Amino acid sequence: MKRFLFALLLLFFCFATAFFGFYQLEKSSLEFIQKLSSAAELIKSGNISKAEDELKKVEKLQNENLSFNVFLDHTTLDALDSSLPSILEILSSGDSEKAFEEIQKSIAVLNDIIEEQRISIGNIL
Amino acid sequence: MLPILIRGIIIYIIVIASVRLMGKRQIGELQPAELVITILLSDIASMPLQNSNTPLLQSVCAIFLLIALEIITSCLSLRFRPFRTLLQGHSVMIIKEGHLIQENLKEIRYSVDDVVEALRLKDVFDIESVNFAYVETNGSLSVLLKDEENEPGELPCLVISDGEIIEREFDVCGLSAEKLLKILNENRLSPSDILLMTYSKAQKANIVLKKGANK
Repeated sequence: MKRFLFALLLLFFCFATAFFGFYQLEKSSLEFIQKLSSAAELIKSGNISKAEDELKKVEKLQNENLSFNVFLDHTTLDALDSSLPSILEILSSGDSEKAFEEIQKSIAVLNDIIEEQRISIGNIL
Repeated sequence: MLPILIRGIIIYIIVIASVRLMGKRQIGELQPAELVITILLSDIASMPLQNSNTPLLQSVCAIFLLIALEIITSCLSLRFRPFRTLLQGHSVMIIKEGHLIQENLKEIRYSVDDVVEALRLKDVFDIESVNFAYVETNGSLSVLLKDEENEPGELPCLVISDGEIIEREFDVCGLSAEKLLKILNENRLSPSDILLMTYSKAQKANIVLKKGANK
């Protein structure tokens, strides 16, 4: 009986961790998407310095975010980690169009992160 | 490099703990479900060691899930015979009183070559000397040889297991439902009182009562 209960506890731990991980990844990704979208809007409206500030905030948030480090595949994480400094570099070189495109790519990656964590037939198969 | 080493230590401790938690059954001869779990466990455990990009928590959760499922299925197998039969199957008699049971051989897709080889592995080189033989649920062969005069002896059959009557073996040991009921009534017992009961053609019944059962 003790082992059975322990097994149920382990099962609960696994599902709780999975749901918690999904919730954290979704929350963090949506936060980043929102900030990146505002940065993209600022670039579109020509407000480059504010856009740079917004992107620096996102970079800081990303460095402090533990959930990505714990739950995300490190290849995806590395790609995200390197995208923000490169966007800032492109923006400071004056190529706002390219920076806008790179931001859209990062948003797409973050959306994919959320989609991959969902329970769906596509993801299961 | 260092993170890989630390991952290795963590995975090693988890796998050792898993094998211990799943019990001695894993270390002995394996049932099909246990074999599957063992292979999966070793594969999953090696993933974060081979690829440092794989999050450790993913593998740890997968290992914990397998342990939990293994313990739950083994507890359910213990409690419910139909579930145990579904998961593990049942032993199949292939030689009865010195004769090969061809229908059973076909059922388990066991060729005569397989039988002869398995007997040789049991140091039995003459099939004529075999009284009874079973293919067990883990694929191994159990053999009861004829006695020294090469006369067929008796095979005690399991007729009650953990309170449940097993009718499958009745005709092997010459038992019927009525005879069983008579034996139980003579001993003032019900099947639920009995942990284990065997019966042989010599009409010898061996009964092991459950703890706390009153005769």
